[in-house]
Amino acid sequence: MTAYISTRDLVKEYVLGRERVRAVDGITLDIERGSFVGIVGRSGSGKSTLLNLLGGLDHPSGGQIVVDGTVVNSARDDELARYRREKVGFVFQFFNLVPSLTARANVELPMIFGRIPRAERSKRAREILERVGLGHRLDHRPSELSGGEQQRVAIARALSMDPALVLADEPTGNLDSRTASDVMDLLRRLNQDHRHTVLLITHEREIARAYCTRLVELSDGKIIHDGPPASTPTPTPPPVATPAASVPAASPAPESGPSTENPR
Amino acid sequence: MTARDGFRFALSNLLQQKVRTLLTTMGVVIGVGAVVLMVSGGIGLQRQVLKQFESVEAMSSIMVLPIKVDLTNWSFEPKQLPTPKSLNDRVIADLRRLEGVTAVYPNVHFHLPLSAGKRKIRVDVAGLPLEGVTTGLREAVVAGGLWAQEGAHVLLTTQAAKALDLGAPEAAIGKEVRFVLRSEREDDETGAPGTPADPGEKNGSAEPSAPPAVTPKPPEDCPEVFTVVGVYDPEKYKGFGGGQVFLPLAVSLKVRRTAGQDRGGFRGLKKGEYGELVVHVASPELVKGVSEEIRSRGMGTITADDLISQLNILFLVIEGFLGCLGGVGLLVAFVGIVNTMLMSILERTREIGIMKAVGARNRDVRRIFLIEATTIGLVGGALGIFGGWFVGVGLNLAVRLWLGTKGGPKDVSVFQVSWLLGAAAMLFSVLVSALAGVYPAWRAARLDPVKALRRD
Repeated sequence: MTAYISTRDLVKEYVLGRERVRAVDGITLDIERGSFVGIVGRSGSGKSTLLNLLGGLDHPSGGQIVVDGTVVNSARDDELARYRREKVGFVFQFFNLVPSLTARANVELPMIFGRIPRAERSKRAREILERVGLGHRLDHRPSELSGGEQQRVAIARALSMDPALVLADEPTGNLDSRTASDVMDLLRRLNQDHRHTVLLITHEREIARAYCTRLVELSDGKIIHDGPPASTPTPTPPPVATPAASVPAASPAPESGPSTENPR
Repeated sequence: MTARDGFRFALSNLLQQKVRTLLTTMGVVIGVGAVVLMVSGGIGLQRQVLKQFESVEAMSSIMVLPIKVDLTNWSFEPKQLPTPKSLNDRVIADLRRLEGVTAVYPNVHFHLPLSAGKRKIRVDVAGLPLEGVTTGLREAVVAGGLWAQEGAHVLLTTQAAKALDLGAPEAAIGKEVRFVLRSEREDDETGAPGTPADPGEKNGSAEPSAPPAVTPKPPEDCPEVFTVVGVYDPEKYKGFGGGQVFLPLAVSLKVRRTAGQDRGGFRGLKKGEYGELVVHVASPELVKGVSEEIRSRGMGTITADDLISQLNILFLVIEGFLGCLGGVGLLVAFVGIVNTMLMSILERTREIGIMKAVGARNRDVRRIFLIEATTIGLVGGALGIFGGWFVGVGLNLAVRLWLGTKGGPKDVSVFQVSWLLGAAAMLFSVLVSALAGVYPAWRAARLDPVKALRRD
């Protein structure tokens, strides 16, 4: 059986000044439908670049990506837009909500580009927001919402076109530990109850171990480890010293880390 | 994205930046307003001029010239000029026999000073035979009437009567006015300025300026003093010669000759020849046929239709020029829109990234920006047209007030905004602003979503 997502020798190169940087360097990966895969690694290891490639936000320099039978790597811009709209839902570290739009309007945004009729759009947005526990915040703007609420709006937006694939890039990176676990619980529910395939980027190993069914570790654009979470070696030193490492609760994000994630 | 959603989206974006949108829109308002005002001025002028030809009198008159002229092509070589046809009394009698012709008479037209008491004004004078008197002219007479036979009679305009201080039109009837025939007349060939051996130059005290030996033409039996028989209102009479002081034809010929102004029109007129003839026909529809008939006899004709079509071309050029002048404002507005849109892209880079991440196609992004630019043009255009019209109305009032103090006509509208002008200005405004949106929209559409999302 073929995997839901499969990449072959995936390469993404950037030109930085005079240097060529391989952010993703020959990644071959198969991900089954309905899995919850964590991608871990240090800053600059190529996690975000990989996610952007899988999500059709970026064009690879080489290699192949096939998602659910769609060849993503050679798609034209319009086809990629359609792919992003119908098959992928993005969740970002900084939420990336449109500040001028209400929670409901933000959730409606993908459906606007998907030409879903207005009445249905509005109904669906309300349903999804209720599902993520924000039924009472429909007409609030992002600035009137807490960080956790904003991220839940962002997740609701990612789900609005009912995509098979949810790509979450450090979704808890900007949240305190309590809200972080709320958000992670929500993602797990989506994965378990609604069979969304979830790819989660995090550099918080505790979170990855607690929620993911599989961990892929990257370093310098290459896969250095791939397997069930328990088998993943704990790097030394760990990014954050957590006293109770066995408790599946998120530790607060380090202040500086993730924003310098991408090579520029 | 549907067009409707695009429009809603664009509108809410524009309202996000109210002040900037307002300022950019003001640019369009001023630009479109200037175009509308300028062109409406041209149109108003055009209508004002063409009004002179609107009357039945003007439309059923033909000007006859000794040579064929083609009003659509002025650039003929002088040497290619055909031998002029002699316009004399025999030709007049001949033309009178044409079907539909009601009057034929020479066009006598000159300027002279006219005085009454201490008042003196310059007037346009025209000769008019009784057969050339139209009902339109009769109806425009506000006091007195026309002369019954040739003689030293004059039909004044209301303005001339007023300027000569003759009192109310009724009071002017029977008063005498005097044409200044000699003292101010232009020199003719016999009295050219550089006359040699002028003795007056030596003893400069005696008669320094007026040369006494300017052998004046014999005074003949030319009258100088005329009796006012009637006063007419030129605003009510738009035929040939409207606005002129009328004399009986035969007398006018004498006055013109005495005043030394009989060299108008074509050079080399022999005695008994006229420069131009005026032909009246029974109704405007007959003009074309009679005109062709006259041309077939080797003469040239000018009809109101000819003049109107020529004037229309002239005014089109003038309006185009004025429009371009106003268009400079619109050009500035164009740059303003481009600038605003580019700034907006900078501010909304992240938002564009978000839209792309959630599935907006390049053309969706492009559309949003194009609609935004076009909306500015739409609103600015509408307000600009209104503004141009409004200023025009104000200026019209000012012009009328000013003309009123000068005793001029009171129904003048220099600035006239037609529906067509409004529609054209709207279309132009929308086109210009859409065009201004093209480059920003293109830039926004091709933003790299990954980079755009990374932007703070």
